[in-house]
Amino acid sequence: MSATDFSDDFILRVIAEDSAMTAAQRERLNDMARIAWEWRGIDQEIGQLVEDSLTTANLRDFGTGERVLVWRWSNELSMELLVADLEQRSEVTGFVDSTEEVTRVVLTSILGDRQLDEEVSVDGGTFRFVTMPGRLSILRLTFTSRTVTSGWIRL
Amino acid sequence: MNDNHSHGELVLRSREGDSDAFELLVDRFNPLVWSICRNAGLETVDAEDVVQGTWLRVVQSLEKLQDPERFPGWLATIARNECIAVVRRAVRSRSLFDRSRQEAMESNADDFILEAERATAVRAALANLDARCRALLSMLTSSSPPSYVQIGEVLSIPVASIGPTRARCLDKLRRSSAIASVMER
Repeated sequence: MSATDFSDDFILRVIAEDSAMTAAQRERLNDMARIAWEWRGIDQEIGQLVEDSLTTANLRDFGTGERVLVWRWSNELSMELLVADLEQRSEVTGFVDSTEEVTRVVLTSILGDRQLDEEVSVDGGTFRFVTMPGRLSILRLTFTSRTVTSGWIRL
Repeated sequence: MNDNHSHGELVLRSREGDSDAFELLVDRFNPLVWSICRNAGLETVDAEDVVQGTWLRVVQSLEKLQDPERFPGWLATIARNECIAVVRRAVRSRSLFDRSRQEAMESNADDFILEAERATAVRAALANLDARCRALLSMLTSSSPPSYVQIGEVLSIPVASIGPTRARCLDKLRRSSAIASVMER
């Protein structure tokens, strides 16, 4: 490279691009990168899980004896999570980290063609619910607007 | 942890799980990722997705980066590929305009990496430039720049000196060690 690669126009364009980012926007983008960092250490399988979880997420056992569901969600106003098809009654806790308000969390339990919807309360991002034995449990989260969200559920 | 560390050092520390080092990398390079997204013509929401996807890939693949000092080019390539994936999805559902944008992004990969390295060097040089020069250049490149009179008042520079001061600041920036080290390669 030579000095001509650093023309006034080039330098000023780079500075202009940075100036166009507001402090709030920069902080938001940094937050998004931090979410990626928080995912490190979980099995590499998480990479594919994240790919899959744009519309759905799956329960995985990462070999730690702790079953954790992690999701990344974007571009939709709501998402559904297949929480578990458990053999026994289980209390489940979860956390949703969203830049937008969570308007509604609904747990749907399915047994055959019977379906039961139950509102789950969210307190500061944390929610807790109980799954019914032998029923497929689906959690539906609804948000105020299109945004990027991550979270976890520990079983 | 201050921000005087080289890219390579921050990469090595991040590999060891040092979250402060990772934060510094993010803070230093997010403008680069963002500018790649915006130059690719992505909407804000798509660009934000690319930013997050890019850093996720960085976290997953940091171990594979052979020369940590080449982090800027490596990161730019990841960001570019993430952008291309978004544009490809758009092409499937939208217009020929998007296809030409996709083709433009997919060509000249080497030029793209060199430009990312140059932009990174400019950002590093700017961070070490004196506050007055930084303020002047930022004001002059703002999307709605203040008048020379206003700039002169804020920075206590005679209006007639703003042009020459701008030129001196750009020269100073070009002579910085950050840019010199890139030119030596």
